[in-house]
Amino acid sequence: MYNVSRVRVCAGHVAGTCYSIGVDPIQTDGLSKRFGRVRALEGLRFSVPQGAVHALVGPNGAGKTTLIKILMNIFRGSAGSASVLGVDSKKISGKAFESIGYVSENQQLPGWMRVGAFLAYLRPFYPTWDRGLEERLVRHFDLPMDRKLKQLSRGMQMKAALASALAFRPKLIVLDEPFSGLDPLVRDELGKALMERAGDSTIFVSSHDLVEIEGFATHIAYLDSGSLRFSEEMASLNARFREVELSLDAPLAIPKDLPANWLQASAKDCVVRFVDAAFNQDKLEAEIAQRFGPVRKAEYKPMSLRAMFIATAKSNQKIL
Amino acid sequence: MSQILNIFQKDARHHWPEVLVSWALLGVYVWNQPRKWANQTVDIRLVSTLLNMLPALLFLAWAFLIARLVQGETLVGDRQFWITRPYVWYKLLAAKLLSILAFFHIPLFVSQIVLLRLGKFPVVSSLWGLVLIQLMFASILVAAALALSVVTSGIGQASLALLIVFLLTLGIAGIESQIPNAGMVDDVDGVQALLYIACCIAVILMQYTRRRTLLSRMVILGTITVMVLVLGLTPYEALLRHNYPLATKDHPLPAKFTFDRTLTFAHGERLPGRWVEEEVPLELPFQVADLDDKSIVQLQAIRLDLELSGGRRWTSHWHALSNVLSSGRTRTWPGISVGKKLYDEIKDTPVKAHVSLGMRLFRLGVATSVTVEGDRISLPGNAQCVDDMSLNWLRCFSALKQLKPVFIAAQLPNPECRVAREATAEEPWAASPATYSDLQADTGPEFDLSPVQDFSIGLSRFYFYEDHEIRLPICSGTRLLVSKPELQYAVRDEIDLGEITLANYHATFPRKVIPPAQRPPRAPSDSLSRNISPEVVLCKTKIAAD
Repeated sequence: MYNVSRVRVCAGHVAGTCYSIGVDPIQTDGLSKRFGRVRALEGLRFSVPQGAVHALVGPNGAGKTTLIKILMNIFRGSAGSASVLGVDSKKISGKAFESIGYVSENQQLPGWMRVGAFLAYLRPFYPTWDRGLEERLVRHFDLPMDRKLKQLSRGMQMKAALASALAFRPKLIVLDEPFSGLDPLVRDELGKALMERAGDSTIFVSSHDLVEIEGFATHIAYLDSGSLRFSEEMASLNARFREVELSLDAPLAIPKDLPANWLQASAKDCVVRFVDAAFNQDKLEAEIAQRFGPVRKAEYKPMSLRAMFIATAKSNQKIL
Repeated sequence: MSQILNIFQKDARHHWPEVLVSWALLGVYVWNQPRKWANQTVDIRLVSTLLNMLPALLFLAWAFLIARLVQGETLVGDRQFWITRPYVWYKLLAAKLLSILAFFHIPLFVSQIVLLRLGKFPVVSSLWGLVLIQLMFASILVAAALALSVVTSGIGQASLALLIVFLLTLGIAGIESQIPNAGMVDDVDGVQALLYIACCIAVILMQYTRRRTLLSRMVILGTITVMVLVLGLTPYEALLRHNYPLATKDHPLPAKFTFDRTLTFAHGERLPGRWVEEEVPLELPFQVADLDDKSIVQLQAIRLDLELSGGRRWTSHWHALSNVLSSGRTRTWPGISVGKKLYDEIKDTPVKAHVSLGMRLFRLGVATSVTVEGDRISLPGNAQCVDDMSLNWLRCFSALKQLKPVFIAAQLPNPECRVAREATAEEPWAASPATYSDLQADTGPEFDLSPVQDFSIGLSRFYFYEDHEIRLPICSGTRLLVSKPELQYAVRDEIDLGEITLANYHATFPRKVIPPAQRPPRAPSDSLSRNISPEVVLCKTKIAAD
């Protein structure tokens, strides 16, 4: 889908760091992770294209945080590989983080520091730190510069963390559940701040807040029980998921040999409902005709992200 | 460099309370040292107790400071913000080391310079020694504190780890005490020290480069296990035999040791307290002959083997001795202990006995004659001593290290010095002069908070049977002959005692040697019968008496 050329460059503003121009900022290949006998991730293979706002969604315990921690070299994968900005994730450290802004919901900030001192302390770490952007973010988030981080609410702490992760204009922004537990106003502010960065940076954000994600994600990946169910563009996803409702002339039992992309099929009286995860109207109508004969009425409704995920999660199928 | 300084400045801003506490304690320590030298005490008991605890408090304060510095960017866990920031591991480590240098080493270094000046010792010539002391602190205190801090996430965990390490150390010491001949071989200490340093460095580097906490903790536990294995598997007997080889033509026995069957101990009423329960102390009388005038012999190790009835054999294994034999000595009573159960079983039964003696021969260098004038004296090696008449010793101060190896002899008692009443009431003196010796090798500066070493020199003289000695007063006018012994070689003597009855050598208190007769008349002054070193360089020191 993405035509990328791979050119490795070992120069530029960050000495000693090599990036592969044109390579997807995040790529995994057969990535697996085990904690003892527990399989946290199983053979993940996906990529995050340049400039995308790529959302990683899935239920709690799906492996989202584990995947992000492997990408950030906090954990090590048990098998397979992952690369971030063209660098093997196992080698992500030190200067590589000059181009990566990472914020996590459970990150431990130096609570004893005041917000102003925290930002001032981080400034020299980043050659690309933009004081103007920092000031704009501080104003935008209304951050109290003279307050200690530990005295701030969770939302304000998240804003401070985000400001510190955005002010150096990172090539890649990785956010792990940034909206978790925040009130709607703060979510909205964070979302807006992220949208301002979209385009300049690639954003990879994990969340189980589908409504929030739906507003700004360009791509989406769905992880469940450590396995990737799908990873694609939002537009493609929206195009291929439809809630189908068929009105028949007479009640009919659901046939057993339904196509794999028909999810959650149910029948009540003369109405048959299912979710088509690979919507193609001509093909769908042909298959309906084959299985149910003539229908009185057929409706193909677009679905919300939330509805798509519920259907996918409940069907427990891999739909790529 | 900017990253190092940035982290350093952050640490300075954050940890100033811990830094101030350690500096305050160090300041009090420096203030208190000269008072200790002058025997000035504080009347308030609590303050006095706290002052005595200062070294321990300082060590705790420094360990706490190091742990806090390291755990400012804790290396344990996966949620700390800094691990996804552009920290370069070696710069982070360098920043922490810079903090330790600035907040611990430099203040300690400066305080040691101040103490040297307060003690009126030269500073410039001691600078290298002070640097060596800092290196010792770095390899002992800093390395341990760093290693524990990098594998723990907070002060609570670090304290628990410290407690565990302390208990394991006690356990290792307990194991060592149970292993025959362990503790007699220094080679193992060197191996253990190397293991300790290698473990600390490995753990610190592993955590800063890779943050593999579980692996690092396993390395620590593995090192402790290896230490225990080294302790348990070392062939001590073989090493001791190697360290004390049998005499050869090139390395002959430095003196002739003959078991003296004519002397035994009378059975006194009391035993020295700590022996009563488990062990029975024996002292075996040996005659010493052919000891060179220019040499001294240090008996360092003894082993007693007994052939019991029914073909049974018993060995004491090797035990440490510290009998020093100098010119004029004719006897020595090396001590060894026997388990009470065995002693009670065989004490009155003649058993075949064999003694192995490990000894070192020292050659005395040219002696320097120093005469005490007033109550102060300067000894070679820039040791400044004050005569403490009440305790019959010289209280000495020196820069960085104690005076060692050293051998001092004096004509004591002499008419100028008042001899304590209990000394005059005893039996006549043996022929050898009053002596003091410290035969430890000069290994450089001492690992100590204070660079001013505070130690005592007391001269003791043996009574007629040379089983008992007493410290004698040193007075103005007393001439001391100070020599620097040089180690020549170590050697072992194997002596068959024939059949002995252990009860005859049970050392009891008060001591009484049988037979008590045939003592020579005591001379009025009890002056020495011979001079221990004919090559004397007279060097009368002029010390102003206060």
